[in-house]
Amino acid sequence: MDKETNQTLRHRFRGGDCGCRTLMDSVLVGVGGSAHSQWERAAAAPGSDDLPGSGPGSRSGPGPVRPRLTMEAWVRFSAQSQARERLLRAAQYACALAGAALNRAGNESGASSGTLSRLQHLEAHLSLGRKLLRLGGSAEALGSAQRSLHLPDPVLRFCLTLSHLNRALFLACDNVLWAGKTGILPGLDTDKWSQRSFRYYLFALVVNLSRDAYEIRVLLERAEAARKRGKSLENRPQLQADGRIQRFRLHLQLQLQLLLQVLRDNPPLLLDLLRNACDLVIPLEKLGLCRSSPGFVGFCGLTSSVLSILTILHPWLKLKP
Amino acid sequence: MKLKQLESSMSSGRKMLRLGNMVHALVAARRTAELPEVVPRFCLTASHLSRALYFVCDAVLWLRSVGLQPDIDKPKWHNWATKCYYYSLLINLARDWYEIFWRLEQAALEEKTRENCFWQKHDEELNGGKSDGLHGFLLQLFQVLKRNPPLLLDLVKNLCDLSGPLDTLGIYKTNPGVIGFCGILSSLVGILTLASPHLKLKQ
Repeated sequence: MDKETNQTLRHRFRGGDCGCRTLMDSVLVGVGGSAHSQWERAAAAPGSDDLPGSGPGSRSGPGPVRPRLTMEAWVRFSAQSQARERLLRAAQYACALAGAALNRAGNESGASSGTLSRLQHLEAHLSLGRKLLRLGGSAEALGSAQRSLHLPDPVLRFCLTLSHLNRALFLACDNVLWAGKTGILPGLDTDKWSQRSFRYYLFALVVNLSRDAYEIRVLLERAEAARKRGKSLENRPQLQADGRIQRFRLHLQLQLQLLLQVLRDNPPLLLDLLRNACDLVIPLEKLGLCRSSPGFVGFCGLTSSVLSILTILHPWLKLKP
Repeated sequence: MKLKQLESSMSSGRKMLRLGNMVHALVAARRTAELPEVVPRFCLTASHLSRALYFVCDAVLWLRSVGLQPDIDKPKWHNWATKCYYYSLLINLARDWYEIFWRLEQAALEEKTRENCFWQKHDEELNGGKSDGLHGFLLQLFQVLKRNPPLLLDLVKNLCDLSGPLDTLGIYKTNPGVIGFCGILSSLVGILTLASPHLKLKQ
């Protein structure tokens, strides 16, 4: 991608939310650095109506247009309830992260506990509000599961259906938990239900990750075949000449290079992988399967939320189907 | 007690969801500022601006309820929010009234032309069918509303919404039951207009 298209793309993306802009820029630089004409085309041509800031006034230069653009982009963005949920999630984990940082600072210097309790209160509030927003989400997840039953690829069909079903169960538990927390079901064992919901969430994430692994494997095989076809004769003698360990190391190196290449060529896959990996930390921590600091959990939650906001802003970054 | 808790939790959750709506209202106000007709333009723009102010007050109240700004004077802000909401509703109602009036006038005009056309034929019939002032007016109003379901729904929704601020501002005291009923009715109408967009009143 040459510099000029990069510029116009950035200009196009400028309408995005203020918090995401820097991140968007860095992603654009990352994407733009390595010539992905397909993604560029995908961004420029068909889905361009979905991009914020690509309205009629988007090319009319900086200046007074800017606030108008941001406002309209915000309207378009926040009209989706999923986008709002993600924003609240980002805020929630940002609170967790800030609370953890404050806690650490407080341990060292004995800072005020008022701000900390305020942050915790806000976090609990955001969490409850998101639960309210997710009411009835399991029906939507069941619908997606039904839709993914008709996918042609058997592995994808299995993984996606299972993941959606798990998500539906997770959301159902979450709704029960909401009822318990708001006082509709006062005798509810919230701990048990939260464990249950996190278990389903964990299952869904593991299935999602295995789906990502499957996609990566398919792409790797394809890339390997292409590479073998390209230079079948060049590396052969060198490979045979070296010792066994040397050969193994070379092979590993090549695989790693190929993997990086594949991920760089497929930003949607990379984003999905990162998001799922980040999300995985949360249920692992909550279920007590792996102990990490609350700050780390907050960081992972924040990263995954920002990444999903990014996929909402730029639908071409979403992994299909 | 349980229901009270649920209501407060729902209310604060909705406040949170409304956090970004100020921008929506401002954008809508700017869009309506370009309408061709004077009265809808003025009414809608003023209503949207007032609604934007309401959202600002609402966001401040949310900040307080979450505990980020505990030293906010809650009754004052609540009063302000209700006032802004009240004005926005009043302006909306004025706009509804204008639309109804305009339609009534048009219906009357239509009738007059028809009357002129068939003056000789239906003279007696028309004289017999014409009823006295108020009754005829109500009949005509009913006819107009029946022919324009979006207008009727908008009117009902605004009237229902009005009961809340009227009570909070102390202008017209009702019991909580009426307010709850009006709230449910208005929400149902809102859901209905969302579900079938042709029932939404166009600007």
